[in-house]
Amino acid sequence: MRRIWLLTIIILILVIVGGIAGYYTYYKPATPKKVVIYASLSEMTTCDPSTEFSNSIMWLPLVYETLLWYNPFNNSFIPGLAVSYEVSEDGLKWTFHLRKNAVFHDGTPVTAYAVKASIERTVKLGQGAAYIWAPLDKIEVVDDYTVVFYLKYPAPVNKIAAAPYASYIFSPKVVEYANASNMTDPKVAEWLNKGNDVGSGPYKLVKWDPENEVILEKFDKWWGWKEPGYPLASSEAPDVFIIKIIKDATTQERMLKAGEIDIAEYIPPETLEEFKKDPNFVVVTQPTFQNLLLLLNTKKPPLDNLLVRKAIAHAIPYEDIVKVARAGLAKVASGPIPYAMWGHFEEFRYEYNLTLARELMAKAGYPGGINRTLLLVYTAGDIYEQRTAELIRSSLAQIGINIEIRPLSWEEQWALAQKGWEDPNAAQDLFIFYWWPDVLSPITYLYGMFSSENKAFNLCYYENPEFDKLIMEAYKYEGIDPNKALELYRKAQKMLYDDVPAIPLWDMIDFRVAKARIGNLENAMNPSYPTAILAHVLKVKG
Amino acid sequence: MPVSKTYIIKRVILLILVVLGVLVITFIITRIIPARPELLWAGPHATIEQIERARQELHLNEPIYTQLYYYLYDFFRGNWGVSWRTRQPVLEDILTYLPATLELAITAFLLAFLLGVFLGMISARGYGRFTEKIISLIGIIGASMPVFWLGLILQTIFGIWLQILPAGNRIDSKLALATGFRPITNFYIIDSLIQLNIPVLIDVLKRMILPVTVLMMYPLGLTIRMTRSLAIEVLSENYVKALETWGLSSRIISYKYILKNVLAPIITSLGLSFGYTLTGALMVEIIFVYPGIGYYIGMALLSLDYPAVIGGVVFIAIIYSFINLVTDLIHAWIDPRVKL
Repeated sequence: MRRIWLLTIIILILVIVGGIAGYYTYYKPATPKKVVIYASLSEMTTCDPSTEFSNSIMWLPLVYETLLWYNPFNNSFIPGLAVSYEVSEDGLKWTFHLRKNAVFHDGTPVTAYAVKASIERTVKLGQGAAYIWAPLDKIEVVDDYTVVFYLKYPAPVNKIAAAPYASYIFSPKVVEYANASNMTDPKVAEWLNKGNDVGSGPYKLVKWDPENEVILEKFDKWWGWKEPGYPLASSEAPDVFIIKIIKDATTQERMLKAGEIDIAEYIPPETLEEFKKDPNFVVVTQPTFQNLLLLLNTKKPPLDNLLVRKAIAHAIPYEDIVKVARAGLAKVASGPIPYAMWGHFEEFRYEYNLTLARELMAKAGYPGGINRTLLLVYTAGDIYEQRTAELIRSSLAQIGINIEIRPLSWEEQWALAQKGWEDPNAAQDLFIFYWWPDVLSPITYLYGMFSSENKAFNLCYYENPEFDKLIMEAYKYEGIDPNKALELYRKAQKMLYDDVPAIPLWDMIDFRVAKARIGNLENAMNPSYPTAILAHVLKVKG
Repeated sequence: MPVSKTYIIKRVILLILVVLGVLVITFIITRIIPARPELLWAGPHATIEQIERARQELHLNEPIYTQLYYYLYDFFRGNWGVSWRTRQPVLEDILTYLPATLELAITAFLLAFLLGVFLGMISARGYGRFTEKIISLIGIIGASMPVFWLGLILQTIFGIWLQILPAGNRIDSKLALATGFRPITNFYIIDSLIQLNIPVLIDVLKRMILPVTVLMMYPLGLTIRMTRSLAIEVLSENYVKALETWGLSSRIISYKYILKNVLAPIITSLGLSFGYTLTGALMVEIIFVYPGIGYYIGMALLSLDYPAVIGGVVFIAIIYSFINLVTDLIHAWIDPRVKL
């Protein structure tokens, strides 16, 4: 018995002494690194810059670069891998001049050939958002640093090249690393999805654990660090940027308070006020490109009557909806283009005026109201849509329109709405609907929801050939003559304002909460690259 | 060991049946609740055709029994499907998450057992009424307090208000990076010891304090109360009185003679409460963002990632049945009167 005790004590002493000795020999405290932890509500998805079309956008713009970056607030471009570009007069030939000091993380220089190979891989694979390249005819390498895009029809290649998906440039050496035969070999995707990166961005992907955390480390040879005055680089950027997956808003809030994370993607909105008052935290809000609309069935009585549609437009309490349904985190919409996007105009708001609405109803032949209950559908489970629907119902009741609210799953909702093209009477009357962009242009909203050529999502059944022509014309001019395009877009929106096929309700505002030491957060967020925090722009203290 | 071969075979067959039952029930539940998992598979910007294709790829357009057949066919070949969120193989995922849970659960169980028996014995031997009351209070609180409530309270007090203990996470990512810590076995205590990384070891242990405290409360309360009542029973037996009259010290009587009679039933009931602890681990790991199996299942549930949910649940069923088997065997080993 005693011997066992003695042995245990000896072993214990050995372990402790060994541990301390090892601690002093092997552990050299590294220079303290600046680390920032950003909590994400959703897990990361894939690592393939050509096909990824989901949550990984949170880190893709940090690890990979595009030719240009888009600033939606003034419709301008920030140079990325391209320093300049020009477009031919017919809008069919776009020449990009690349910067000469950019290198991929593997040390090889970024060349025109890499640009061609990257975009061609994306187009050939044809997955994710690859369709944004539909106007592309071919890519030509002029010299190491000049690349030309030829188009089949005019389109704004600058915007396409700055898209948040499907426009990233990567090292063609990936074929070699993946032991593949060519770029489109599935082995390339397989190799990338193991957590490897071949980008040229300010951060390298060093740990890929998509359900838990993704760790990015500063790439010292990034050209941007050395470029004086470059708007997307900060000398106080973090050395390490960690994306930590915490799928619950309350847990994010608790972890932020406990100091376990530095930036929260989402916390319960009702706690925002508390954080705003606390000097230890900063709350940053920013517009998004997501908006909510009320689509009207323009082919089914009584909504086929323009006067009734107008009456409804004047009977919706827009301000109350924003305040109650979104806790103030939205702006009353003016037209279908969100307020932060180029192409938005402030002149398309309907006034909330019940007297005017009642007059319009009387003029339309319904002085005593409508004797049928209208059906309003929204996506079940969406609390914002639900609250909006309730407010619309109680307000419309005051002008004699009764509404039944029916929550449906998105597919049921969509399937019901699809019937409307063949038999408008079989479909819903009112439809609450979100839209968000795939290309950063007004065209996605106008074509997407109102063109008679796009029957899949034009669920107002709005048919106006003049409008259809106008918006395609505008899109064509976007790359060549933006001012002219803008004027055409205004005209198109005026048509919608007058015809009322849909009533835009609100444009969503997004927020992030961070510790006070995280500076410049507002500039590290860009609604064109939703959910991403551009860590290289952050000014981190301590 | 007085265990017959037929007994073990019988128990193993029973184990397989239980696991199979759990699998089938979980599978059916995941298929009949009204959700659209194909949306997850197709991704956020999917078109209607892509969603339809996803339905076919996942066999969701076929009857449940056909779907079950496909699942079982793969399951017994070691293919537990891929997560619909991340497309990683489920079994691989589970095995990487398992060590974290085991580290928590084993530590909690060992502590609960040692501390529980110790406190139970003290209370049985009657060290003044005050001590006894305190101990039985711990016993009652431990056995009756809901895990999620206790977890949130402790997290708020120590992690958010006082900030003396980390409120969550298994390891400080910053520290791990700074010291070059790399997981090897995924048991971070072992890993940090192998790498002689003392700062990480201290950090990992610190981060275990709150979740382990919460997790051990139930088995602790159980052990205290059982030890106490069993020991009191044994104390009144004649042979204890005989030992006393022979002049043996009460410490020797307690820990050499009484304990033997008390341990066997405690181990059995502790084994049974392991299932409860695993369920508790789900809540504890979600609250403390502790990436173990519970956290994995919790996150899978939140996003309707059914292969991951089924895989996780079946895995826990296997562990649970296995632990039960082992406790019975240990019981037989400790108590020679038991024949299996």
